Amino acid sequence: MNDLKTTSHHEAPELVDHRQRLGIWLFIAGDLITTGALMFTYLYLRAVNTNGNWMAITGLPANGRSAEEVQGVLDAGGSMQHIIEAPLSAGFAWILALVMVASAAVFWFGESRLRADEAGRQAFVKFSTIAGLAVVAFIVLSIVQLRQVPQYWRVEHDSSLWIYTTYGSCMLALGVSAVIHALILAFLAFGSATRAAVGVITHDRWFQVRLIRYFWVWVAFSTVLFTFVVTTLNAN
Amino acid sequence: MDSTLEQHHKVGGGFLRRLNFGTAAVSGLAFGFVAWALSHHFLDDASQGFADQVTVLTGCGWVVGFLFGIGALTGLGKWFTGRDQSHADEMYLAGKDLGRKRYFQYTTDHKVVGVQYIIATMVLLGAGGILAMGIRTNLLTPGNHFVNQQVYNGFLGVHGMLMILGLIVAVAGPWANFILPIQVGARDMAFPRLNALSLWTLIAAIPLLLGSLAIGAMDMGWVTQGPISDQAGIGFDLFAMSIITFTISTTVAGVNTICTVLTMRTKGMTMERLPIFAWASIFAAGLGLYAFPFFLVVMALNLADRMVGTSFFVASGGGTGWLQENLFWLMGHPEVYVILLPAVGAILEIASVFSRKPLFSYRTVIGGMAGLCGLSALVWAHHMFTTGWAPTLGGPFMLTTELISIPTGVIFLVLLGTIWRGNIWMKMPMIWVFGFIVNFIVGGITGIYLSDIPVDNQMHGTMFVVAHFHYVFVGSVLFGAIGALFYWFPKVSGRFIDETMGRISFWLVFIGTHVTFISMFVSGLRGMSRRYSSYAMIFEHTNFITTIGAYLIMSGMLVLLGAVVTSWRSGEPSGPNPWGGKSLEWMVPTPVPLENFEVLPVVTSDPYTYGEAKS
Repeated sequence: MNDLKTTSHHEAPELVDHRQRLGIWLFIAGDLITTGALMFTYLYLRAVNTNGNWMAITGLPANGRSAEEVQGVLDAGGSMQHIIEAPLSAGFAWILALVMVASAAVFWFGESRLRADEAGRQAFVKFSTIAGLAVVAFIVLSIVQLRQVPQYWRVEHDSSLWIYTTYGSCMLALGVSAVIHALILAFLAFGSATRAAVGVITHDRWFQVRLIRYFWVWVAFSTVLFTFVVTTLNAN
Repeated sequence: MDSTLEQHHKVGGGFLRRLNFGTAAVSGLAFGFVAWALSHHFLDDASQGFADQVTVLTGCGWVVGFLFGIGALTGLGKWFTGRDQSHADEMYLAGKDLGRKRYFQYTTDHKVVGVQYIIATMVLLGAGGILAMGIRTNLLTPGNHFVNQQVYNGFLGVHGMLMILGLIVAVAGPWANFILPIQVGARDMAFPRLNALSLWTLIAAIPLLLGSLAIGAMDMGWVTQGPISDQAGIGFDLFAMSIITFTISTTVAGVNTICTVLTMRTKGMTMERLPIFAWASIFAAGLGLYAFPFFLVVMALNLADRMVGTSFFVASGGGTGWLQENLFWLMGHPEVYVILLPAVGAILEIASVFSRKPLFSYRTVIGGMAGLCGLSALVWAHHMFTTGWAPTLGGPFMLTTELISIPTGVIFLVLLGTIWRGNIWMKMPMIWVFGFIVNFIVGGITGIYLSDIPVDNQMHGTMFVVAHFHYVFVGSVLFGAIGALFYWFPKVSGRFIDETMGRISFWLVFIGTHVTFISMFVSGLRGMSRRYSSYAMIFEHTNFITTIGAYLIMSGMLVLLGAVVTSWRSGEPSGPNPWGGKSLEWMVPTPVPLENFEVLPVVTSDPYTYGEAKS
């Protein structure tokens, strides 16, 4: 995270810019493989649907209940049920995607204001903060969504355990991945705002903002892609 | 007071001045303990994943604490608050005027990082080697109980992963850091702080991996076979954590390597004038960027299955072990070439210098490396021929696997073409090259056998496979790494590694390699399965011989270690260019100045102009 002024060896700014742009593209490429592996996992498990367990399971819904409570239901004569799980709300998923896309757009707009003129720095502080807050909202909503993933209490031979269906498992993994990305974005957004506020990012020193925007746009794109896949290719 | 502050500012470093390896270890332990205590307090101890959750959170605490304690996170804090580091800070971080202290700190100078990688590699390979001795001692005679079966399984898994991690960094770590920037005419790596971050992240991962042995068994080998991984002891959690940490380290290092070569070349250093080691490094780094995210994902999903009851790899919940195998081998086979390519690059450098001939068919070998990278991403399912996964794809995967022998063969022919009719100078680096040639052909050709489905159906899971990949990893990569050590050691230390001890170690390791792994081939051909802690009497003689061979290798490595340590302190001085090399690292003084070049050089020819007019 060198800035032009503090770069050692007095290198030309365009060289530093070139290097850091390549660096961020390579990190995005690595992230693309990571998210691609998660997507592969989702599609693979849906395709093979082992034992018909993609969205179905035999057990008792256990969300919000302790192990003792659920076991108590079984001990009191309650029986295991074959449950067909409903997919998570598609509308809610698209709202999440919309929030992420909106945050990217706000940050990008802030960047364009920053680059436009001297007065753009204050505007950037504002827009970067708003974009960061949008990402915080994304994190909160994602956690709300993750809590909707059903968990089941299942008795197997002589042991009892909590379990997710493979669909639920994938949604958890994708959700946690989205939250991790959002946490990074929040750090970058608020950090950029601070840096602009103290005058490190200015009208003529904005290239770090562009690097952040690359990453942000990629995260927004992958969020939309994931949302499309999990809201369309999810049937049992 | 003011003058003191001013003095501090001038000297640079600030808070970092108080941090070193010791503070990192203490901080890591403290954070780990706090994470352990908090997770005991807040998590539901009735949950079936409680022990795994506590272990993983403790491991996370260790990593974060260690990085905090070494100063790796201070840059993030400074960036966030807009207080960028001053030039004095940067100079402090680069280790200016810090003497030996800089080797124990978060130092950004690529040469210091290179030396730190040498030490880290020695620790990884040394620990893996000790476990190998434990395994072989247990297999010395049938029914031997040097260690119990649970410990034996742990030894196998952790030995495998220590060696894999050690070999991944064995050439790329020390030499893509110490030598590569100088070779391309740069003053440092593209991202010096990230460079130090990748090193210290790797170091943070090592105790996790070793710690996994102490706290629980791993019964599934280094491939972490699902769903067995779901049933393993909590040692698996630290094992997986170490790999996740390691993948972060290698991703950062890979990005740095590629950016350094592509954007920091000096004037005149066109891509066609790049030393072949630089090409090999960027191919390996690029392939690592592709492969290691799969490693991260497969380990993260394994942990999720264990910690929170997801069903990725557990069939009873709808998961499948095939998914685990696919994800693992999507990483696993390219990773072989991530390990191999830097060693090949170093071997080709040595071959040209010590044959006093230009590198034979420079463009062809680059094409060969590119072919290896491309095909290596398309062969993963040959590791699954016997699992029943997608039998109709067996033919195509057999074909791609056999095709990969073409670029491999091309590289081999280029190596032979470089040496052919050369004026060969049989110094230690070149001796290891000849060892590489012999071993690599055995490892390569047995790989072609195994790519054939009917043969693989017979040999899969036997000691034959173990011998094959040990010929590749020990016989080829380790020989390449040691050759590189002999070749570039004078640039690091200003001294030669002792020639006599070097020759003793070579012959011990070379003979030991063949004794160990030829007898292992025989065990495999006779049907001995891998991963067994005991075996039938018919395998007695070959296993005895294998164990003797392993001890020969270990003896050779100990002699080599002794040679390195004594030579570093009191070896024969070498001067700046002892081998008459023409690449840029041999044009700078030894010890190499902080910023490598007083004035950046202008390159006018490739580094292999031996035997040409005016060369």
